[in-house]
Amino acid sequence: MSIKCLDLTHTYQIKSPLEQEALKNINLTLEDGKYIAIVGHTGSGKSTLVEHFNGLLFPTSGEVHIDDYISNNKKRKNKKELLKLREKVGLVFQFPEYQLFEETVLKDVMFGPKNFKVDIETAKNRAIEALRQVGLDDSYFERSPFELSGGEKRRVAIAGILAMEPKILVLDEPTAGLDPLGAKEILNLLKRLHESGKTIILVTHDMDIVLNEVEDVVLLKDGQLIRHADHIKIFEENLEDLSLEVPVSYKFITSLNEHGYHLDVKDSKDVLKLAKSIKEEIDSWRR
Amino acid sequence: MNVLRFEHVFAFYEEGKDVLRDVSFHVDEGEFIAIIGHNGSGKSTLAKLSAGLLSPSNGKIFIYDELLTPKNVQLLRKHIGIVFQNPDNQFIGSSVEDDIAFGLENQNIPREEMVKRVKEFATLTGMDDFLDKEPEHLSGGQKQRVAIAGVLAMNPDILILDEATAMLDPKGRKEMMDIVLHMHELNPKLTIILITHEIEETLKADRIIALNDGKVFLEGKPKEIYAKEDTLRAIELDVPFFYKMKNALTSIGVDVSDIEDLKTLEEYLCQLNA
Amino acid sequence: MASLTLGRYVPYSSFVHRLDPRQKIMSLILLMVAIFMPLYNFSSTFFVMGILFILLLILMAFSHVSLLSLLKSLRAMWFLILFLMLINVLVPIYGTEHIAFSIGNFHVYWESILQSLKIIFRLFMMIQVTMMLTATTKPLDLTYGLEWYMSPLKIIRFPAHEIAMVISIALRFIPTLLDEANRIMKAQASRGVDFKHGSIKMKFKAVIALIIPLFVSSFQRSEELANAMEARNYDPRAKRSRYHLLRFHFLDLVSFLLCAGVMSFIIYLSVANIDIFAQFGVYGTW
Repeated sequence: MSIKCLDLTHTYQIKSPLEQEALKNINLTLEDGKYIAIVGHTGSGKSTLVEHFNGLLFPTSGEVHIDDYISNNKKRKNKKELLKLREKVGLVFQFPEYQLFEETVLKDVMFGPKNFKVDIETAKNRAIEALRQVGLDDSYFERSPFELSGGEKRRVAIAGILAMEPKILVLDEPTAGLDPLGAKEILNLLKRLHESGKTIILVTHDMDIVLNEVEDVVLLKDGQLIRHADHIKIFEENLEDLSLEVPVSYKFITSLNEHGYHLDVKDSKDVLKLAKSIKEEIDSWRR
Repeated sequence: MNVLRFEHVFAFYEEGKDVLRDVSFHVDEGEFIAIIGHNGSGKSTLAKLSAGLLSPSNGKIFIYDELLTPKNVQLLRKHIGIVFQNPDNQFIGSSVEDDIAFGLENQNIPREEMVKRVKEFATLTGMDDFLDKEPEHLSGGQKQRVAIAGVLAMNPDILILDEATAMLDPKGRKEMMDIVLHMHELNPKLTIILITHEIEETLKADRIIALNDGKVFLEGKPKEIYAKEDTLRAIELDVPFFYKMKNALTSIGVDVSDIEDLKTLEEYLCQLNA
Repeated sequence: MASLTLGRYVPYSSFVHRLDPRQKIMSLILLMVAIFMPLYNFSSTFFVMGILFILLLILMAFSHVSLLSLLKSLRAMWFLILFLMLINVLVPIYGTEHIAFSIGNFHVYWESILQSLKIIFRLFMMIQVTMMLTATTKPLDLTYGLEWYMSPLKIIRFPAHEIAMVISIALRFIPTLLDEANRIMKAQASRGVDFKHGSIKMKFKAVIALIIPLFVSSFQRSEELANAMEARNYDPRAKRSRYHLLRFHFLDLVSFLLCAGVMSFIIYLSVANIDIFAQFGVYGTW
C-alpha cells in the first residue's frame, strides 16, 4: 500500500485575494513499510501534504494515489470510499490530546473503530490492544482522559488512531511540547510499530529524529519538493538555509571527520561508541 | 543581593497533592538560572509562585528581600516579567503594538512614553515591521517575540521564561534565545530564569537547578550538574551532547577536563592529528 | 455563513474609515432617529427617505461598503417582509380608501401595501446605516467608542471598562477559536466522523466530538490568559493609561454637524407636519 503524488498542487482560497499556493507540483512515491519523515520549515507545506493522504484535502491539480484510491480535483466525496481511505490511513494531528472528549479513556479509543462500523465487542478489544501498545494498562481504562498528564493524553490520542488499525500511520509533530521522557516514549512506540510492519510517516522539524529514528526523508521548502532520500544523505543539503537545525552531534562528527577522523554519523546517539572510536584514532596517530 | 529567594516553600493546586515540597533556593541579581526537570516536577508552579499567581501553602518567598504577601503582590510583581508557553494564550491585545502596550497601560504609563517603548522593544525583538498586524497573521515564533517584547517593555528586573520555546520550531526557538541572551548582555543586571526542556539552551546558564518530584534535586554550575550524568538519568533528564562526549571521553581515559565547550573540544581533538 | 459576513469590517482607508468611532456611533443614532420620524403622508415619506437613501448610497460607494452585501440583507429579511405584508393586508388600519384589488369579498388596499413598503424601506435603511458603521470601523474601535459613551456610568459602578475588555478579548479570540474548531473537525474526521451526512443521532455525536474539545481548550485558554494578564499587572480597578487614542478631527465635526442637520430638518418636517409636495404646488397626494 503505497502513496503516490503526481504533480500534486494545492492552492488555498483559490481565486481570492488571499490565494496561496501551499504545494507546487509534488511528484513523490512513499513506499510500503517504510519509516519516513516529512521535513521542512514552518509553512513549507508539510501538513498540507499529509492532509491529502487521508482525504481531508483534495489536490487543486494533479493526483494522489493512495493504494487504489485516486484523489484529484474531479472526484469528490464518495462517502463510502472516503471513509475506507480514512480507516486505512490513520492521521494523528499535532497536539492530538485536544481531540479527546469521551468520559473514559477506553470509550475515547473505541470512538474511531465504532465510526468505521466495527461492532462494539471488536472495537473494545482493539481499543484495549491499542492502549496496551502505547503503554497504558487496565488501570487507565475507566479514567477520564482529562485527568491524565500531557504525555499520557497524547498516548491515548494515538491509541485512538491505532485502534482503527490503519495500514499507514501519519503523525504531525508527535513529540511537540512533550518533555524528553514523553518524547522518548512516543518515539519508541513508533519504532516498535514500524518494526511490526506498519508504514510510519512523521511530520517533523526535529533533525535529531531524522538522524536517529527514520529511514527516508522528504524535504520540502515553500511547497516544493527539494529532495527525497535516505535520512543520512539528506544532511548533504544546506539545512540551515531551510531554517532547519543540524543536530550538534552531527556537526561535531562531520567536523572531526574533516580533520582525519573516521566516525560514523549513525553512531551519533551512542556517545560512548563514538568516544571509543575517537580514542582509537588518537592512539593510532600517537603510535 | 538576592532578587528572589524561596524558603521551605510548599505548594499545591489540590489539597493533599503537593506539587512543591520544601523548596529552597535563591537567585542573585543578574544571574542566569536554568531550571530543568521533567513534566510534573513543579517547574511551572515555581514560576507562578514567583509572580504571585499562586500562593505557597507553606514557606516564604522573598522578592528583593521583601516577603511576598497578598497585600504587596501587585507591587512586587512589577519586578517580574513572565513569558509563558502558549503563544496564543498570552496575546491579549488585538495587534502587535496593542499587545506590547498592554502591560504599560496597566502601569499607567503616559502615552508618549508608551509609544516610545513599544517602538523600542518591537525593534529589539525584530517585530517593528509588524506593529499593526493581528495575531492570526503571525507565526508562533513571532507571537512569542511579541510576548517577550511586551514583558521587557515593562522593565522587569527578573525575566522568567516558562517553557517559552516549547511550542516553537527550531528557528523560532533560536530567535527567542538570541533575544534573551542579547537582553542579558545589554543589561547585565537583568536576572533571567529559564525554565526549559531544551537542555542545549541551559549551556550558557550561570547555574542550573534540577527539580524532581517537587524537590530541588541538584543545584550547581552546568559543568558540575552535567558531570553527574548517571544521577540525572535516574530522574529521566538528558545531558547536552558536549557533556555526554566529555564524560564518555573522560571515562575511557582521554583527558579533556579543562575543556569547557564543544567548539574547544572539537578544536582540541582536531589538532591531535596535526 | 452569509449572515456572519454581513456588515463585517472591511479594511480600506476611506475618509469614513478614518472618522472617530465615537462620532460614527453618534451619527448612527442621529440618522436612525431621522429615519423613523413620521412624516405627513406616504409621498412625503418616500420622497424624503428616497433622498436620504441616495445620499447614503453615494457615501457607501465612497467608503467601499459593498452594495451587494446590503442587498443580501434583503434576502435574509424575506420572512420578515412577508410577515409585515400579511399583517398589513389582513388588518388594514391605515386607511381603507383605495382598493388595489379584491379577492371575492376581501379587499386589499393601496394604503396597506404602501404602509408595509414604508416599514420595509425604513428597516432596510436602518440596516444600511448600521452596515456603514460596522463595515468601516474596526470592532475594537467600536468597543472603545462604546466604552467612552458608557464611561460616565462608572459613577454608578457600571463596569464600562470591564465590559469593553471582555468584548475586545472575545473579538481577539474569534479567529483563534475558528482555527481551533477547524483543526478539531479535521482530527475527528480522521477518526471517521462525518460532519455533513448521517442520521440525527450521528450528527449529534459529531457535534459533541467538536464542542467538548473546544470547551475544554477554551477553559484552559481562559485560565492561561487570566494568568498572563495578571502577570502583566492587569487590575481592572486600577487607573490605566491608554495606548489607543481616539481623536476628534475637524472632519468629524463636519460629519457630525451634517448628520445633526439632516436629523433636525427631518424632525422639523415631522413636527410641523409639512406636506412636501404642497410646497411645490402639488396637492392631494396620498
